[in-house]
Amino acid sequence: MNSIIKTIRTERIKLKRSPVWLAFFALPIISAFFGTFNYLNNLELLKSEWYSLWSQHSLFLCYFFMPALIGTYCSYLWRLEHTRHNWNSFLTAPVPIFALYLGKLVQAAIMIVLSNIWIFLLFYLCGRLSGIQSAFPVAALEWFVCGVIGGIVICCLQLLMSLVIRSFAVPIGIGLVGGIGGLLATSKGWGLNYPYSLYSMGMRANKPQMELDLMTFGIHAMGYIIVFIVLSVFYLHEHEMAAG
Amino acid sequence: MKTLKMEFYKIKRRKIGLTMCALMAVQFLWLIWAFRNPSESERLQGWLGTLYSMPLINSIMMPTIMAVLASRLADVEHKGNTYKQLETLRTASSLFHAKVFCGLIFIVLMFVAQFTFLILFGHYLRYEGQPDIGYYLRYLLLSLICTFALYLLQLALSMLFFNQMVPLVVGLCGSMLGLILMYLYNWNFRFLFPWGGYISTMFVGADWDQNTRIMTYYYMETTENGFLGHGFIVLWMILFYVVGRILFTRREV
Amino acid sequence: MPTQNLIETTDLTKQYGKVICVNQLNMQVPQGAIYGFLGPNGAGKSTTLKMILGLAKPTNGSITLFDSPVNEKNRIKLLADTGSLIESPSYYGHLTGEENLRIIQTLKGCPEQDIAKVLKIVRLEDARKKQVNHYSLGMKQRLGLAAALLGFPKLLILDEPTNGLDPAGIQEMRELIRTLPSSYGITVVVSSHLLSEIDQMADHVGIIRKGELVYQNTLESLHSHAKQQIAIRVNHLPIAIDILHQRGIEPTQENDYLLLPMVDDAYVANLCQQLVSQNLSLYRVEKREKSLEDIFLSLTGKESSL
Repeated sequence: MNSIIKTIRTERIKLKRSPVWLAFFALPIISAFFGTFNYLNNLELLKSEWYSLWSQHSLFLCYFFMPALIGTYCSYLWRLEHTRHNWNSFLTAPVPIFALYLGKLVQAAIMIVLSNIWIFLLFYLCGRLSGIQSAFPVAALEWFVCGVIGGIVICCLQLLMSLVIRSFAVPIGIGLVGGIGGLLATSKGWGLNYPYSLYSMGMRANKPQMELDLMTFGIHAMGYIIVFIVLSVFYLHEHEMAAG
Repeated sequence: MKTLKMEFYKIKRRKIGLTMCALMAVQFLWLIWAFRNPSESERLQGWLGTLYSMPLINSIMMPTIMAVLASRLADVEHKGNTYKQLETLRTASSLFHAKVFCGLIFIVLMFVAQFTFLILFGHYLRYEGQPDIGYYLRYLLLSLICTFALYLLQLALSMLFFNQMVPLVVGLCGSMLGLILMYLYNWNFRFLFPWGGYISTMFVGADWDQNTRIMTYYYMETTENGFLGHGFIVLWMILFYVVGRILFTRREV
Repeated sequence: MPTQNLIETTDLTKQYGKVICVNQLNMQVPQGAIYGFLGPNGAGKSTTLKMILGLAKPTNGSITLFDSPVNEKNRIKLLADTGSLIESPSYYGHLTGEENLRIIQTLKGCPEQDIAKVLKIVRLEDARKKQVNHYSLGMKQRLGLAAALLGFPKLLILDEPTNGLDPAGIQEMRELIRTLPSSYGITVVVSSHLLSEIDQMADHVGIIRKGELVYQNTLESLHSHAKQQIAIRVNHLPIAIDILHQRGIEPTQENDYLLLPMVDDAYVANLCQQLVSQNLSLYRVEKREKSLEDIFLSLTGKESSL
């Protein structure tokens, strides 16, 4: 436990002076701006107030951009080690390898939580500014929590990919494609069997009325998270990262 | 020429070609999935409809694909810290040009592949008639210019920032903007964004009949605004080339 | 030797595919030593050091560090007592020197004051608030050494620490390394492809050639190999050999020369007289010196030059 706190602190230091969070700040603004614009232009079709607005806000963001953006962040976290011979010092630190990995995952998860808070804050503000008078839906809290869990699934998968593929850009391309693939998977009803879909499903992207069996969702998410973590830590153990 | 050869040599084992093939393959799969079962009316207008859909698909995918391509090509130097060494061997400007040409070759190959795919796929789906080659070549040329402009932008960013997060996020935001701009039908200033180029130079329009649920495509006259759109994609291309070159040759290594 | 070994490897072997990179290496590093690990580039130095640090896994053989076997279970405990600088320095370029050290200090769990101490040792106090991207190569190398020194470990493993340093920097690094055992009780393993460098720092030396340890002993004993010889050339070698045999000397023949161990001037004069009196024409009598450099070359093979 002690070493996990240590690695979380050192990962925090490593992220200094990199305005990575700006992307997580900017992209939801673009999405919210145009989502609201679209909502206001189609008021005669979109009549469910908060729910309609959410469908406009979330569609592009959850399918197209958050998976790739999460991928960008995960790539960045490992790139710190992939460059400047840092594997040598990273892996000779006297802490368990699991703790080293968890330090990265926690940073990514924190970013998911923060960006989700931001997304929902924008949602609320845009709703009020567009003149929606009714109360903010309580269900949004559930979307938020499920979104965070689904986002962490993508984190674990992207961390695994950026660890194995020593490139910055390729895993991001995969993230983009993965997110778009989520559109297909969800529409076919395979959403739970496709890790990238869990985020958009959790967020109820484009379909705020969708019923989600929380138990099944949770079990699937947990399963993916465990598998990806185990694979990543195993890879760090077995593959001689510092040799290449 | 020598620098260009060196450029290809450097990326030998970096599987950039493979990455690009994979991304194009995804695009093709998307097209196959989206158009696999054309209705009768869609079949009648198939060749025209393709020219309507492709700019939209390009404007979603190409900004990110270009960010990946540029980042891969520039990253060779960051990883190995070879800028210093290279710049003593070649001038900064010839290094810049080598990267530009290298990327251009990839882009041309990708669009030739896409073009071929569209023709074959259309015939496979038995679209009515023959594709209007003149318009198809026009589409090809416009897409190449837009894409090349985006590549030049991404290349400049990728070479300037060690932190590849910056160019990749710009690419992603570009994709997002491209997607959003296509929803803003009535907005005339899409060409002000380099990512809006695909949409602002579109020459096929569509009418959606809510009752029959049939989309009717037609060739649009190029309006004044359309001319501006065409002008701007060339302008963006030149601008990014010049700015990239200046930034790259002037910076201290 | 009365001192106990801090590192001991037994038949340590590393194979990448078909290429054997390190072959049945038996390395012994006594406590308190400065062990010079010498060999041409690509001989397997880095790979060996990486195996000791657990960064690479041996294909065969075992390593004992501080009397414990190097394995997954002991990894953390052993790394806590070890500092290392492998290949090039590791650093996060967008962070300052101090921030880079804070990362290592946090992970090692050593006192915060150590940061200031090691910065002082490597003379980077003035640059501690500067981003490492703006450091010169020598400064980065010194920062790497500072990071390795954090926590003042029992063992320091330095792989080519003078790489890329200017002559003054090399000199400084050498002085620094030399004082480590006496000042902080640190045992040092330092690798290099330059004999002269090891000669000036180390007290023990291991020479590796194509993955095999071809020599391992104190530097002193390596020096004793550096011996002088007398070389003579005459018109008819067999007669000269006979004469030498009668005197109880076993000469070695090298081209047209006979090599005999170093003898004093009077002996040489006497020998020459005898050779001439046997009607031999004496062409040359030379003093030959086999330098440390020659020994190193003969151990590592001339084809793998420095």
